[in-house]
Amino acid sequence: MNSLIDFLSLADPNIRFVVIGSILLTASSAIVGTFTFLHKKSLVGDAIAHAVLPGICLGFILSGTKNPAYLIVGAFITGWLSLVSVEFITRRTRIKEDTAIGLVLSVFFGVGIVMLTVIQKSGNAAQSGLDHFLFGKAAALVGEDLMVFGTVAVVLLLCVFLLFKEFSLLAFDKAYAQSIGLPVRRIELVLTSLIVLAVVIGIQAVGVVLMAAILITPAAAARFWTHKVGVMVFLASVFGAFSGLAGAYISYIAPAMPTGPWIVIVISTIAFISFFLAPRRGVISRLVRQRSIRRTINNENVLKTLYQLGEESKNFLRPHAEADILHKRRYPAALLASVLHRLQRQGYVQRTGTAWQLTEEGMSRGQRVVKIHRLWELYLTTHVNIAPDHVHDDADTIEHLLTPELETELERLLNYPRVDPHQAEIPYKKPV
Amino acid sequence: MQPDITTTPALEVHDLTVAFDRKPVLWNIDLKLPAGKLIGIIGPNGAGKSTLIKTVMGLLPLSSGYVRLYDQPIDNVRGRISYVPQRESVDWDFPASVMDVVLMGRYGKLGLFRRVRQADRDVALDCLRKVGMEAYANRQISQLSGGQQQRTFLARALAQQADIYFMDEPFAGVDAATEKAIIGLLQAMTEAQKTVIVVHHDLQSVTRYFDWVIMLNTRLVACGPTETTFTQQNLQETYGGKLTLLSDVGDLIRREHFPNREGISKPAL
Repeated sequence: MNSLIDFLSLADPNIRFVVIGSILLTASSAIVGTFTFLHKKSLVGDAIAHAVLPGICLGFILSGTKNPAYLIVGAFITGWLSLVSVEFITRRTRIKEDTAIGLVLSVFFGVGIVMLTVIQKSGNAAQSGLDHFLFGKAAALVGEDLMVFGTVAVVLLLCVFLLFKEFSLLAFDKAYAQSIGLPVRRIELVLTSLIVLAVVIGIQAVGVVLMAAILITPAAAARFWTHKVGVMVFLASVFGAFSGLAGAYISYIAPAMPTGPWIVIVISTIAFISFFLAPRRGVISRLVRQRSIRRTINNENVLKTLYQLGEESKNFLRPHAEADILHKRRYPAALLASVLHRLQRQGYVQRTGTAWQLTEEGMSRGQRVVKIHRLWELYLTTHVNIAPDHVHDDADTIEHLLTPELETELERLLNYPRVDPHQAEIPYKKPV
Repeated sequence: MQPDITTTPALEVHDLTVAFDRKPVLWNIDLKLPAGKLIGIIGPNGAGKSTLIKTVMGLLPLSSGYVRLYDQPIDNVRGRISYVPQRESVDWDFPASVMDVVLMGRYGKLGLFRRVRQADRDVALDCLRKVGMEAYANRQISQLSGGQQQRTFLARALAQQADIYFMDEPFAGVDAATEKAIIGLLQAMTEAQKTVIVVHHDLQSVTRYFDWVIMLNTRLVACGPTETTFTQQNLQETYGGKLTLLSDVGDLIRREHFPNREGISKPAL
């Protein structure tokens, strides 16, 4: 606990660098990553991430130092080169984009690993720490790094802020953007440069291997929670920053732990939670919705059965034993009992001894279901030309789904018919 | 075949050839369209209808010829043209509201970097009203029906306040009510001297909808006022099978890596 307070109080300047640095790196990657995601370029981000490794090694070989400015320039160049290669291969050969990305990614990364190994074996004392670029080193950030990454992050944010509407439009409808005369090629060039830059600084936090995770995962998680690009960018940056912070903290308390993988674990957990918990789009929300639909269907089916029993006896409010209901329509007995009890709580049926009878509300709801069922059967036979013996199953579904507006429209369209295709009377609340 | 147009044509296409992967899909198109008309482009699948409007707007490179709008190159009159792409050409699961999409119609006038102003919102809302979608302004586009998606695209095009409109199958997959509403709107636009060019599929409605028709089947069959151009003979020529020889020669050009025009070949791998 004390370590958390020490960590968050930012009293130690080293910790301050690490905290600010990791938030900056992950948040700015997440912001640019949102547009990478919306432009459906997630795989491209991964290719760039792997392709910057040879650039970093080259920067080191040529400059002889680990000064981040040189390494960034090198990374930027090979990152770009990988993109140009992907585009060239896709355009000029029959190889498709996914294959081209796979090719370029592995070739660049392979070359990078070879160069890294050569540097490590060369005995150059300055090289120690270069391998941080493989898995990240957020916990080892120092003031000098922070200046460089801070500047790059500000540039990224500024570009996204200025070109926000252009990036959004391009992601949604590129041909249209072109038709209104936007300089599409140049805007794409800017966006691609931003992706490369975001990757170049993001790898400081998580390393090349896991870079795609902090570029894309925050956006993917944010997408579950919102329908607005602006909110999505904001959420992605918060998710990214939180995972960066958490990763840095973990490597602070357990220095042997690699930062990058922890950041990725945290952000993936956020994505996982979003996947399950998000309203509307989340899995649980969907399950709840489906459950409530199933309940409505069960409720209405039982009310319908009770109503139909009432039709037979010409007395809609007469009590029926559960066995009679089961005789009219087959349900699992336990299900019927539970549905009846639920309907009782909701005031649609009441119990007299062991028998059940409809209340006024129950009768009118049962009547509505029966009415829609028969109207729909009639509509299918008269307007859609479906044989009368094929319409029952469709109507069984539609009767629970139709909105009051569509119900009225259906009545009007069919002009309040008296009977359905099977000569069963169609019940209206007020006889027309 | 070409009737004279006395005033400046809204659109002039001269000797236009367009090729995909070297194979020409449009051969030597020549046409002039008058302003203030509702113009339909008809022809079978693969006739190059969408290709024609995309090329005219400069979205596809042309292999030969030129295009002029109001007697000017396209880039001088970008602000006066408006485009309704095919509904299926975008991913409707994009995080945006109907209003967001319609506001995109203002981006051309706004220019780079600038934010949307209240005046733009007013225009967008007005356009939504024209297509009967004002109640849906804040609806997520992922929840729209096909007809509502089409109306949204139409509102976006209207928000550009352009003079010439290119619409790629605006009636595809929309209900009868939407089709009627859209055609009423387009007719009102042409009365206000706007030019509306529509890629169209349904031959039944051609004479009711369009003042002019362009009949296309990889080459121009006919172009002119509907009553004199939309004839049985022209229909026969447009839909009566492809010109097999033309298509075969196109395939040959691709296979042999031949340039479409002497002297402007690009190296290929």
